[in-house]
Amino acid sequence: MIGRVVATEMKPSTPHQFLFWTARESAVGIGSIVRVAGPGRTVYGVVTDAFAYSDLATPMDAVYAADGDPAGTIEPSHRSEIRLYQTAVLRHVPEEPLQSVPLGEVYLATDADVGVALRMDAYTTGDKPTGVPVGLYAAGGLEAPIEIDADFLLGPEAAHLNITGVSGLATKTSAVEFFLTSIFQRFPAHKGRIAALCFNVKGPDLLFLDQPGALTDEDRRIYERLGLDSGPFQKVRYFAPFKNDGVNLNTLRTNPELKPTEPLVWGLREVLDYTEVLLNRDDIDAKADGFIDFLAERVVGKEFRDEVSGQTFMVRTFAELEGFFKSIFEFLETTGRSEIWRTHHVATIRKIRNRLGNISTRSKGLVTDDGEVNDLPWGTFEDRSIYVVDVAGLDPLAQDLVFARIVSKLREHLERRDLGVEHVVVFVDELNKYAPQEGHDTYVRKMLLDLSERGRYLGLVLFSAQQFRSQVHKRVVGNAGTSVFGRLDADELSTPGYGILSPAIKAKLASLPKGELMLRHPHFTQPIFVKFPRPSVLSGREGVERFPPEVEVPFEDAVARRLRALSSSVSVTRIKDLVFGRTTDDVVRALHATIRNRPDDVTAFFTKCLGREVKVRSVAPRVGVASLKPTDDPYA
Amino acid sequence: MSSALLFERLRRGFGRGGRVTVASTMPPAVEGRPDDYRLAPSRLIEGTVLATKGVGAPTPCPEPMAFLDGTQRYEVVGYFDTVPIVAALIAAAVRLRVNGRFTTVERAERRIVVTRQDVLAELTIEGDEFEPYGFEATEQVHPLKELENAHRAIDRARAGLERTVGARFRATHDDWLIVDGVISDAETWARDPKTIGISKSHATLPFDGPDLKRYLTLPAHHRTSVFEPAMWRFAKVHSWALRLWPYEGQDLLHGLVRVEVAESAQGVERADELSRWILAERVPLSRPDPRWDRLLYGVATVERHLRAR
Repeated sequence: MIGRVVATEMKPSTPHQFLFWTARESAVGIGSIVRVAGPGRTVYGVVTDAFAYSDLATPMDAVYAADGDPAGTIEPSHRSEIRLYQTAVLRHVPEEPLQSVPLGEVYLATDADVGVALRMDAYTTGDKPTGVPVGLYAAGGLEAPIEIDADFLLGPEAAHLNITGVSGLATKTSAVEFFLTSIFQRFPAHKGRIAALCFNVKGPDLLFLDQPGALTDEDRRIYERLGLDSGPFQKVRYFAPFKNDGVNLNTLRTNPELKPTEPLVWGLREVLDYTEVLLNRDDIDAKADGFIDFLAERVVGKEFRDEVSGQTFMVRTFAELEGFFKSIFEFLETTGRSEIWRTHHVATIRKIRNRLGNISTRSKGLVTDDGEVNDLPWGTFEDRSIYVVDVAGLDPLAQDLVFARIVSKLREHLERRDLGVEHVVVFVDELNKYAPQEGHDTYVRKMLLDLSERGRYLGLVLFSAQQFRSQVHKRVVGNAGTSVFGRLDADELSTPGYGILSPAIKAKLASLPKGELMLRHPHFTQPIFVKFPRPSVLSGREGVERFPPEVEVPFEDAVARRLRALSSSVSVTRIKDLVFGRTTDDVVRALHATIRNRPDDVTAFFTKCLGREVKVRSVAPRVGVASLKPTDDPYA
Repeated sequence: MSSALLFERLRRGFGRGGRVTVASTMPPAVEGRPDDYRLAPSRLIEGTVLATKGVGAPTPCPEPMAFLDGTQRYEVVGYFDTVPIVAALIAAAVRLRVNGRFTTVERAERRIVVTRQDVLAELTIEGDEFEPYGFEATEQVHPLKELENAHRAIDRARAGLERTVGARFRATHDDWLIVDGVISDAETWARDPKTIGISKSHATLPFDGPDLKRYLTLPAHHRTSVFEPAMWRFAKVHSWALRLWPYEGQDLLHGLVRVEVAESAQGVERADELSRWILAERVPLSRPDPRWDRLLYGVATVERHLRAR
């Protein structure tokens, strides 16, 4: 026993809170879970505030007793003092009738008590348990694993997880990596297959999830206590767009010792449905929207016959689209008929041509002119696998396009149940940037709102993180069934969203050490503090130190290196010879085709894709036939 | 169970008896402790004239120190014909201080019904929560005088309980013991070399004439010469007055205590040292108790402990 409940007329016990006192030296602290044993009733609570005071009547008495000199008087007796703890009720047993907390003895919660207090017994036992470990509750030398309910973390009851924490303590990324480790190991098989798609939005944060991290003995002990293996993720695929040269990948994960990063390259078809993301909102009026729809439905990706001009088009790439536009303008100019082509005004067509034509330029590396596409494995997502899309090096416009298209595709496939998995966790960091509370509405913010409000019905779950929860759109964080808080700064804690927390909880949050966090979950009636181990994967910072990115090399070397990544038998010299004198576009096209097809004989396939070299030959000007009779008279 | 509830249950029991008139109000005239004020000149042990001397800076006792005190709560619960019946809760405890922290090492409690012995013989006390405690009386007296007699009986019962816990403490501990009150009326510690009595009451003053003036105008941090009080019950003791706080601007008795120790050489030789210990016990202040100028904090914690139970 560590204390006793006290209640006075001024500070009575209620069904939801009570006070208890302890000896001066006790293991109780803010966040400790306690059990009150009363006659016929057991109450569980979590300590939310602490008070101490002595029998000193007024501060002036201390001054008087010490003759005004705090250092001058030795008090042989220590004043009687009280350690009083305010506690919020977690659970009553029995639940009904709901009564005030009895004046009982107070005990620190044991493993079993923690399970009952947090209602974990409802989902961690039985034939089909759905508990997912998220850390260890620890207080007073006791510790207990904390599990949250997969039904409320990943749907369908509730879903989504949001993490708030200051930058630089690695809490947000580390916590998500650990949670994914736990989910992948403990997500119950009867609930289906699950994968995660992580957007790497800054530096090398998520680029080494397949590499083991350095764990301490304490970390390993926590993994063991939680019943988890402490290894890195087994199935991880990395995707990144190219840099502007179309050969070097725009990512920090380029070290040849690592599993290669796959290029993320989209063509006209892939981006046409997301022009709303790419085009300025002033560009998209009803007429422009109509013309884009016309292109998407009638022209791109299929044979289009223009009855007006009598021409037939097959538009699959930006280059072919440009040809299509040119034909329209030439036809209109040649015939001089009018400024209307198939009900679309030529000005609208010119505007769309101009805007679409710019996309491949503005998002070069991600969007290709030539139609060679490399995309995520839609339809063949694997169970317990992670797909990391590195957008850290992209400009904001291209990032928006990546977010919008990938999430939309996930939704489409999950709706059709043909993604390969039934549940996908989408992790987006820096939510302050992508779903801010203030500012104009963006496509990405709308998409994140939609994901957080309707995603759980599809199995699409948003794990999001940010530094300032108060500055993220309320509906995005409000829809997160589970909220996690790392260390927060005082400014953030002073915002109204944290008003329900006691000053002591806020003080604890302001100084929370690495590896500890506060958790809110639908089953828990009060926030709970837990410790979690370091993630079992290499951190981004350590990763780039151990696996530094390749130095950017000249074009020919980069091509050779990428081909050698497919097969070590590829001769660098041979590739350089093949590439020499060829246009960059030809080489890039052949390279992408080779990467996409992954042939057995890489060199032969690449050579075939390059085609025969067409040498430039100087041709002497043709000598015309001299006139028979030179004259100035044109009618002669 | 609270004292109010205990008293109320006793009243209900008497109410069912028939001859007892239930009462719940203490007549104002007899509230408080009855005191007889007198001057009883003492014999000087230290020197030939009553002198005052500074004792030096307060110095805490380097050893563990225990504090003993008792409490009493009482109410008139009824009248048997015209004789008052008083119920009392009395308690005593010893708290030992080690390294500044207090632990209760001895405690005793009694619940008594106090009235004349002949009335007790005819009284039926329901239940076993209270025990009868009678005092002898041969003739009928004024009811208020009866109340005063009951009050004195309760005092005796409490003093007896204090002696009991004091004896139990001494049987198991060899530490210094500070007793709230005089020690000369208790066989238990009147001869105990490590017991110090601190009397806050000045109902009996040990000098008269010019010595009395010197006694009552003792400066702060000063003591008088050691003397032997004229009034004692079990054994002669050595005593001196000690001023804990300046009295100027307050009252002649402000901060004035009378110290008693067993009769021995140490009474004189160690008077300064013991005085410095006692001076150190002025703090922490025992406010908000109105007797804070004379009530040592250690003694106050014993009282608070007993009243909280």
